[in-house]
Amino acid sequence: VLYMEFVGLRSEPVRNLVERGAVRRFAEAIADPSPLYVDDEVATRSRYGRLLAPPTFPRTFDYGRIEGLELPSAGLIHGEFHISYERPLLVGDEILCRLQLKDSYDKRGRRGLLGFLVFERTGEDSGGARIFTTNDVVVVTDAVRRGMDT
Amino acid sequence: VSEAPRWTTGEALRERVLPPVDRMRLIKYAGASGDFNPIHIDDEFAQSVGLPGRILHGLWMMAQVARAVGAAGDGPDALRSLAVQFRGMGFPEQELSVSATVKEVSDGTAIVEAEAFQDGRRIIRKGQATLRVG
Repeated sequence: VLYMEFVGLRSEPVRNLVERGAVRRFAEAIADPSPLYVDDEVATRSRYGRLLAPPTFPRTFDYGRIEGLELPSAGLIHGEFHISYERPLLVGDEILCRLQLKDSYDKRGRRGLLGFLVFERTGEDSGGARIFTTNDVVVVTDAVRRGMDT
Repeated sequence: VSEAPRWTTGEALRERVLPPVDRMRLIKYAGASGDFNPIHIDDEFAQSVGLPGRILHGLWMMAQVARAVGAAGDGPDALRSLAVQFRGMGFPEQELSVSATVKEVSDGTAIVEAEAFQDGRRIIRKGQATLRVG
């Protein structure tokens, strides 16, 4: 099983800022026209009173590194992605982000031996309250695994 | 900001069809997300690793599911969770359609199931969103 010795290990937390320009560029890149991301007036009248970041914005954050864990640079496949929010991300938020390898397991399928790595990423506010959690499953194919041994 | 939707269990939400995506937008997404993997922006590179051509970022497609579900409901700030499974490659030259069905509504929370297709191929399956309603 791949990276077994890293399962359970976490990165040192990294501070990220939800910056207005970054949110605007991200919303434009995903072609999401909601004014809640860019229009102060609309945002002021909304439930949270501030500009919002799109739901997949946590993809942009720096989560730090798990000491010693080096993934192959190419050929990894994203299998699943989950995100859950305690509240939406708001422009101006300062978020403490970290990464953990939650699990690693193998499955033998029609296309050979597949490795599955489950990463959890979390974001907390400066008071330590959880804002979001993401879980993503990365698939390591047989070919990529063979490349790792050499 | 829309009125809170009055959804019923089993209701199919309006299908959303996204037009093909031009290269510039995907370059912008690479910059905005920090994911510069060349399989998403460089046809030649993508073909050199055995792909038919550039493929869409998984999380770009997930963003389209989030948008479709959020827009059908009470806006993006009503989304509490979203899970997806990626099952096929998405190609920028093809339309992407997102369909969604209300699975459950109770206590101000709705569970919506979603899938995304291109040309009849299922790209995202087992999408599940939890949203605040009402």
